[in-house]
Amino acid sequence: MLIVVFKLGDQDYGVDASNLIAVVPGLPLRIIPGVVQGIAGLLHYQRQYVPVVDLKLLTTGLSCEPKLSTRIILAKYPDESIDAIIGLRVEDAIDTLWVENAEIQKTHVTTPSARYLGKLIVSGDRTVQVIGIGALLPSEVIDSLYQGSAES
Amino acid sequence: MQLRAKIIISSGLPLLLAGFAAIALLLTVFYRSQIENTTVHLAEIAAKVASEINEANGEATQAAEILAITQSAGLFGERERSLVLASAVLRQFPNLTGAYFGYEPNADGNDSAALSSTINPASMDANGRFLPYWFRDSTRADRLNMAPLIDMDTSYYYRGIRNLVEEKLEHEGIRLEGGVSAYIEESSRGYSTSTQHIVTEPYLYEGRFLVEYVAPIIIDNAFAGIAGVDRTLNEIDTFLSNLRTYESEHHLLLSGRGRIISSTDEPELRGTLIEDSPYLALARSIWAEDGQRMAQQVIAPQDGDARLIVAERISVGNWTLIVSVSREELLRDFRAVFIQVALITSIGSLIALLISIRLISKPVTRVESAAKIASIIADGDLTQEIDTSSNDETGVLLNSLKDMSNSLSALISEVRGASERISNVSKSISSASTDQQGVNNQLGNASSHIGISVEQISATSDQLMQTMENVTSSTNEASKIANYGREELAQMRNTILDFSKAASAISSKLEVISERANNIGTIVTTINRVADQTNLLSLNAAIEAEKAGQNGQGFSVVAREIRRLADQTALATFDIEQIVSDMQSSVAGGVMEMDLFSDQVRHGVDESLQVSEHLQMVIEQVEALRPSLELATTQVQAQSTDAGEIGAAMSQLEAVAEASELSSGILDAAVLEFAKSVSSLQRSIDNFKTS
Repeated sequence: MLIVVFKLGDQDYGVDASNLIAVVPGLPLRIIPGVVQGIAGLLHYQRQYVPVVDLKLLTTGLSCEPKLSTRIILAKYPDESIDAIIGLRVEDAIDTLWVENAEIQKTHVTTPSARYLGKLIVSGDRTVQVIGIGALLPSEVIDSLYQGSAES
Repeated sequence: MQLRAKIIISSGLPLLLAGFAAIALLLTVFYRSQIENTTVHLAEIAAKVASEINEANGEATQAAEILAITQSAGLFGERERSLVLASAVLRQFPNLTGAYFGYEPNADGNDSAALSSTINPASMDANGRFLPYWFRDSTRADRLNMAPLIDMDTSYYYRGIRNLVEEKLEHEGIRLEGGVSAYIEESSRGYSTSTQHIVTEPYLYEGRFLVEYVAPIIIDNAFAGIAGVDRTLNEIDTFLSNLRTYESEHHLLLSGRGRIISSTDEPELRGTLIEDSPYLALARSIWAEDGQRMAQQVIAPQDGDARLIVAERISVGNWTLIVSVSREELLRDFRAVFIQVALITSIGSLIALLISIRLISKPVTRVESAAKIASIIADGDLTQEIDTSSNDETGVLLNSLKDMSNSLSALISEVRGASERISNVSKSISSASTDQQGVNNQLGNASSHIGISVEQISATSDQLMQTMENVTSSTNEASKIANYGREELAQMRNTILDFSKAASAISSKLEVISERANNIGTIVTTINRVADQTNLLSLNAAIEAEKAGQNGQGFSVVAREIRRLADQTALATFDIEQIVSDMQSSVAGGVMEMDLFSDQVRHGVDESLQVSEHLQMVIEQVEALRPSLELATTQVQAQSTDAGEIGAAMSQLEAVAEASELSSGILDAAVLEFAKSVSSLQRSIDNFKTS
């Protein structure tokens, strides 16, 4: 299993690469005024607007630093019912980690307010927590985001 | 000096002086007339001799001209008749030694015919040219010989006259031993220009000293030949010597071209050029500056001997006669006269002296006896009996002496009384003088005290003046030092300004460095971006490989490697960025430091300017002080001078007091002397024996 690794604060996090479309630079986004906190804006990607979630904004209330290593990870929305792409803006998205399934551990802590935090992976001296993209946003937010696109 | 001698001198000396003056005048006149007479006499001799020589020359010239005229008049070409004529002329003039014709080559057209004719072959040359020369035999005067002429083209007697007729220079082509005298050439008295005849330079020929007289033969206005005669000058020395009237008389005869024909003292000089003889100076002295010949008296120095010279020109042949006499010989007569006159004058004077001594003897004796009586009276003896028997002026003198003796006797008794009275007066004066001396002493003491005080004042003034001078010099020194300080500050300011300039230069250099660092930053950023892109690419590649499953395994390894390289690049660029940013901050710090330094330098300049201004103020104040110091010095000086003047005045006063004291002393002494004189007067009067 390949994981694209990034940082939130000083901790390593990652996403499963099997659902990913691409990693793109942290290009300027189209701001959506009055949107739910955590959504940074819309990214114009291959003739469609992709909503982008800023993980740092979502968890700490501060936007990611505007650095070259701050990138947007584009992934297929995991819900089969919605044929859409979601963007995840993270810092230090510069590395991958290949792990065997055996190395994956389940966390013993669950946080209802942060259902997106998934399994912990330990590889050598690194510990990476996998983020579940489908659980990042509440379903109503997802609906409001993709309603327009589904109708059109 | 004795009366007798005085009388003799006063009467005899003027007489002697007058006598000598008259004699000197007479001798001068005598000397002048002697010279003048000699000059006239010499001129007469010169004129006479010159005219005789001239006559002889003229006669010979006329003979030559007659021969030429007869040729022109029709005899030309008649060779036989011409020979007869020439011999007849030679017989007619016993003074001549030869007569001749000389034709131009074939001038009569008969040259070749003559060769085969019966004419005497000695009358022509080898070509038949007519050149007959009749001459007296050296042993028998009545016998005539004939020979052809020679040296026609190189001699004066033929070529010279032809030159003149053809209007050329006389000496052109002539060969003359010794040439024409340079003296004649320099004096531009030159050559004869007469085309009627020519007198040649004298020359020696077979023991005879000959001179030629030649005239041209003119046929149809052209030169056809010559006719001439010659004569010997052997007798001329004897002729001139016999004319002498003075022992030192000397005759010098010069030819027209500067040769000596005769010198009466040295016959061996005959034929010599004048410049080769000792007579050149003599000859030069007879010519005026314009080169004209003179016949006048000159006293010329020749061999250190003054001579009286007279010169005369001999027109035929352009000869010159110079007659001279030694002045020594003329003075010999004059000396004899001088000695006679001196002797006569001396004897006459002696006789006059003796007579006058005898005449004055008697009266002088009487005057001497009167003098003796007077001296006895002078000794005070008035009792002397005086003999007054004589009748002349000496008797009157003795009578007067007697009267004087009587009068003196009466006078002396009166003087005796008076002298006693004077003696009393002198005693009173003496006591008064002593009092005066005391007063003078007091005055002297007082004035010397004042003098000492004034001297002290003067010394104090001098010290004060010295001090003032010291102050002035210190002030000057201070002013000088302040000036130096100001100059040094100006130098320092210049140095600081240089610093400031250097700091600016460094600042600008630092700015350049900063700019370069920025450039490096830009490059690093670019590299960074490339690394980022590479990283991104590798990420996406890894994702794509994952999607490809088993097939993408190898590709994912490649993607991992690429990402590793990109990471290393990013790290390296991070280091570079770090270094560049450090450098930039250092440069910025340096620029700031430099700016700070520049500010401090500027501050330093301002401060030095302020110090300079302060120093200027100090200098001005010191300068302002100087006039006051000078005034003070002047015043102190004036005071010192015044004190000196007072001192001098006091010294004068003191001197006056001393002088007064001295004169008191002198007065005292004088009074004493006076008293002594009075007593001596009384004694003297006592000496007189009065009856």
